[in-house]
Amino acid sequence: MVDDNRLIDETLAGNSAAFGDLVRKYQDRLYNTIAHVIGSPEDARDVVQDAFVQAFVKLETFQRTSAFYTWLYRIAFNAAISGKRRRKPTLSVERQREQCGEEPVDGGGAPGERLEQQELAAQVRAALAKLSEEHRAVIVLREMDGHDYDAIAGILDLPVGTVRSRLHRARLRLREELKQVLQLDHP
Amino acid sequence: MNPIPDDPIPDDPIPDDDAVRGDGAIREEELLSAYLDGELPADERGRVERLLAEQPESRQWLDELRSLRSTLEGVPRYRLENDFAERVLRAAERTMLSGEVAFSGEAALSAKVEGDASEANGRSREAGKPAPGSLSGGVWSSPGAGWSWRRARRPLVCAGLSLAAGLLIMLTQGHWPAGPHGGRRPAGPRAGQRGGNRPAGPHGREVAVAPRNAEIGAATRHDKPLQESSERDRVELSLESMDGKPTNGNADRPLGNAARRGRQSNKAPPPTSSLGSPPPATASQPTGLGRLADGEDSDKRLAEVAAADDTLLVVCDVASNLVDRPEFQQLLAKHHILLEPASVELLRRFKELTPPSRGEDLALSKSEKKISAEDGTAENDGDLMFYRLRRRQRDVDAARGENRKAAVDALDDALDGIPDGGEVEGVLVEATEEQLEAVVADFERHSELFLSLAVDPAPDVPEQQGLTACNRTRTIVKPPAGPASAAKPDSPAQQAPPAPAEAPKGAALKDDVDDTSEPKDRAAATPADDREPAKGAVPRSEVHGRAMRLSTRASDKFKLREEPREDEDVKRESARKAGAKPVDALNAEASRDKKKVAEGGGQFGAARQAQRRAILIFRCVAPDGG
Repeated sequence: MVDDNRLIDETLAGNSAAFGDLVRKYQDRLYNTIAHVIGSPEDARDVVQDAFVQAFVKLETFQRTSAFYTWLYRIAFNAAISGKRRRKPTLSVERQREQCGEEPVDGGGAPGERLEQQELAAQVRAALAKLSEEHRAVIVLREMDGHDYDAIAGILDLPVGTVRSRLHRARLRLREELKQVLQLDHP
Repeated sequence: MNPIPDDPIPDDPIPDDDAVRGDGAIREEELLSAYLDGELPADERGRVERLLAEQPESRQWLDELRSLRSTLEGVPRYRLENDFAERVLRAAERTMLSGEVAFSGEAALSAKVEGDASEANGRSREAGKPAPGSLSGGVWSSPGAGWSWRRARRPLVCAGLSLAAGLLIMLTQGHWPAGPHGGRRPAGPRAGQRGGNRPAGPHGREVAVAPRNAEIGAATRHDKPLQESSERDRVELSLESMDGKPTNGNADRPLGNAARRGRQSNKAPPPTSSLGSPPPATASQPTGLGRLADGEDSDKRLAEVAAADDTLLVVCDVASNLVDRPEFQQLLAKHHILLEPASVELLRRFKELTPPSRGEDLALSKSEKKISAEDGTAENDGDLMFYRLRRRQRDVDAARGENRKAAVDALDDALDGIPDGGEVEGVLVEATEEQLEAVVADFERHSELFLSLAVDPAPDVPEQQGLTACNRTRTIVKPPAGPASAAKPDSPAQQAPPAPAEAPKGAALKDDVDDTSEPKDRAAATPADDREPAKGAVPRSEVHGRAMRLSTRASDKFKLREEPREDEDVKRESARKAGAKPVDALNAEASRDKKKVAEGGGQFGAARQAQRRAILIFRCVAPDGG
């Protein structure tokens, strides 16, 4: 895996293909996160594209005091927030429900398994949609994208302690929303 | 670093650390949460471990958190298409060319990012050195895969103007990124007859006009060429369809619109069984399901797509594993229909097809035995492909009632009699009317593959009267296999019909296939693995329709219903009057039926153990106007 800094250097040196490598490296991860945070895969696609373009355009200003992906995520989250203001309403349980079964999924498995996965996804996404934006962001970053507290704090511009407490609260809320699913899995 | 100083994440309305920590229990739970994440310092970790050792409720809480995590981890991940990076680079190029650092309304974002970058920018400005995005002068060229930055301000402006002009022309001339299955046909007399400004989606669902421009915008923002390979189109659409945008509209329209279709005057030459000359198509204008050609009028196109929304449900008892067999692929290929693997898009359309009923709407859901309509009936108890009807508080539009009911009934009928764990093969075929009719005609001819065949809706449904070959309900009832064959359904020798199953690939339809035709060549090139769909076997230039398969196992909880629906209704009513719970009554009935089938009885019991049932959903699309 080529180091991000090297790709950034190459990009700044005029090799835009190196930035393409950066995009490929983070696109799916970022897209998955943003899609779950804003609740609209289609809008997320625009947000992610805009974020990458902004990162490209502003790459020289990236001071490398944090990881590139933290910076990139931060741009994307801001794009998502500013975009949300324009495209209200975005999240709705109904919309989430109607999305069930329609998204490409990772992995193989039997059709039945995939469908079950998709149903689970629909339920989780519907539950996420009921969380506040702040809770949703923190729990998606942690549980679905695997960021540690420091990274989440960097992305969301929050103190680490706030990330910890907010994540706890988000889990409480999500657990409540997914009570039935969790009970099904663990009778 | 603070790239977004001007527009931070909104203040947290949730009480943060100090407030929360006032409650000891919450504090402990929070510690457990952080413990789960491995984010506790050593002293707090020790404390949590003591808690876990001493307090069962703490262990339970931790287990719940783990369960929640596991659930979240099980959510399928969204993915972008493979060429997304190239699109980003093109969009970046466009941004640089246009000089719009803030694009697509993201001025605020730009300002925010600028905030973080202000210092660096300042340095750049002071040094007289343009930052990559500052556009103080330069142009992208494309040496190979990437671009290099070099000074050439004037060409940049020209290129930007050209781009803008091109975009303007595209919008004013009505170029329209086609929907997933939008056909292309010359403007017919029906064009525009839908009236108003509510064009129809690819499946005839009405979509608002407003999203149209948004859609164009999205397409152009993504730098999506108007004509790309249909394969890429399919991938993109599967992404776009995640929230149903292409067909996001009024679901209350009747399914069938064959009345409109029946009056269509512009029909492509039918790709007959003998093939003859297939309608011309080019790789750049791939299919009747493809994109608009340059210059094609989008309004006409929309009207045509709307007029082409028809659905036939063909229910067959078929030879075992038919969909996986080369004969089936050949049969479709002969009519220039490409059989592709199942896709999420298919699932979505299947869901669309399966209509609401009695205030219920279909939702993809876990296979559950319960159905239950609130009136206590269980007629939808049979789950197909993990679908079930979910009760929703929504009125059913009376206008759609009959057509949809016909489809519901047909689907229910199709499900009837499938043994527990039995398999159902589903194929969604989207092709021109002529193709579909030719295919259905072939089904009849190949009764060794299609043991029974019924086309729904019935001819008394007015919307289907525009059909000719398909415009009748016909059932080819082959004598069901005997009990012996039911006793050993897995034995190849017992499977009916054995000949096609054992015939060499491509042999079954040999008499039908023109020796010089492309389909036969493709058949010869069918992969060795029979189960591998002949994806790509039909050259793109020859594809005029598509079929996608959905083959899965019926729910184990599927209940048998050997009796006609009317009888069930009577029984249900009787049971209700007798005070018994209808669901229980049906369950008992199902058990009896199951036993009967196991003994080789039942209307088609034995045959159904030996064969499978296929649901072929035919949706007519416009010909590609060759």
